[in-house]
Amino acid sequence: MASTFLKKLKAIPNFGVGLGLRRELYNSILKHRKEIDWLEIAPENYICRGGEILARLKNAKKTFPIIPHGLNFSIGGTDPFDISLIKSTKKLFELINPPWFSDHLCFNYVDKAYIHDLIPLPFNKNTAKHVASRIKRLEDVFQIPFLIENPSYYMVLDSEMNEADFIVEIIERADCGLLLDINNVYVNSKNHKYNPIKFLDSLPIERTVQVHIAGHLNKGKIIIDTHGESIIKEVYELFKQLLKRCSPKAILLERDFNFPEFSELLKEINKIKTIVNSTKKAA
Amino acid sequence: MADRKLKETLQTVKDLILFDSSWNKRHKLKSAKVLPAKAIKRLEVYRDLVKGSFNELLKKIYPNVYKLAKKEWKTLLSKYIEMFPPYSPMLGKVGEKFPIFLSKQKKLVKKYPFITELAIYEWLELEIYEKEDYSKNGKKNLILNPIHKLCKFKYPIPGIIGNIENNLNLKNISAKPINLLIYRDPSNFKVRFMELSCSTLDYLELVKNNISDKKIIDELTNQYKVDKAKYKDFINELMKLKQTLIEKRILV
Repeated sequence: MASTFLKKLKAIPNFGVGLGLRRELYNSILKHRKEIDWLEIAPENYICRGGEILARLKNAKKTFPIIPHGLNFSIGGTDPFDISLIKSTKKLFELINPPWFSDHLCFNYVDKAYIHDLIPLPFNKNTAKHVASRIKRLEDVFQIPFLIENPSYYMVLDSEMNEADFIVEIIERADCGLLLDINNVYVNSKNHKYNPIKFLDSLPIERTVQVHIAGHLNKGKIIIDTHGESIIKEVYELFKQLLKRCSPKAILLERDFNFPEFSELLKEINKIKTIVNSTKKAA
Repeated sequence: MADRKLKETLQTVKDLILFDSSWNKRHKLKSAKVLPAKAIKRLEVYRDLVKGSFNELLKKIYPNVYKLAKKEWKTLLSKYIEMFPPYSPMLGKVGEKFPIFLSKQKKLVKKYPFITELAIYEWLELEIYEKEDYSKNGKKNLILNPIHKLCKFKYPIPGIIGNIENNLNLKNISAKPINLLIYRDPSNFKVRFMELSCSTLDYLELVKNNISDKKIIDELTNQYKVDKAKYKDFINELMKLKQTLIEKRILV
């Protein structure tokens, strides 16, 4: 069957390189608005909010496209979706008018309790079917394309397939897009000892709409995806490999805490832009 | 439809991450059946990440409660999450039930009888800062802006906070009722408090109940037995107060 998603993808414009809209970065973002192309928000940090938080978002919206990236929709969860979260997110989307929506391939809402972290699912066909049907339901609700992100994971539950096959099964069944977190590919390849290039080559890479790139914390025995460090050379290299294989519509520098001088973040943004431009030229 | 095995796996993982090890010992057999041994070991990484983020969050929301309960903080946090698992997708709401939880911690309440009110105050600072803006939607009477909160505390909480912040002795603190309006300043979104006299509190309580100006004046002049000679001054004072509260968008 022909992919409706891939047809929709053609109509989506390029957004360039963005940054997360975080309170700590807000003033610097506005000051350097020409160097940042778009902003990402977690809906959970803006729903049911007013005052300064909403004012910041409304003000940022005047200058930047805002793209939402969910944290707690529990795409793989077995509880029904949290209706209040869906309703308030719909209301938020009326304000920001996003081109697409994304969340992680994980679960975090069980028995009406939120774990507030991205917990991996067992990689198997039944789970893939289940996740794909939930993605379709979310697309029906929000009426915009949905992208699933490959999260970092530190444990493997009872699984009968590998991570890449699991992702492929879901994306093809759901006919959705991919938010490829290149740092997560690196982190997972080290923690679970696989070849990251082979991993990229196993994915339906043409469905990559958005890319996340970030730093991580190497604790020796394990690497943790923290978004609190600078991007390392190996991740930039992997990013170059990715760009040889696809042309994402938006790239995000993820930095969520341990903020350096803003000039450091701008350097990283410019480096990402340089890589994107040189890859385009080479192609 | 999710199969039963998947559901059981997710429930077990959630329990092992959110709830502390003593609780989980009772469920060890169940988890061993559902999860691979290596995964149970690696769950520790998630437990640390999740507990770490809850810990940082609660310390940030309740900085003064934390200073008082530093020694037992870790145990409190575990017990709290067990008793009130996070129910909202909004991370900050993880801390919402902490004042209720603290009110049940007998030892702590005995040592610091004001600790529940202190926690309520610290929670309200966050809640009011974040609260959705209020839209009046054409209602005629002035009302108390629902963003703000009227509080009647038994203990002088703002003073106690000053003492904690300046590392002053808390042993001689005794109950001294105080009426507070905790409000969001519309000019800069900062959350502030205003100490209220009994008459201002009564006025705001009446406004809160959507009562007309005329009825409020009748009610208050009766309650405070304002005689004819002082009636005009009383009304003038009331109107001045009303104007100030409108300017601060406390009344809308």
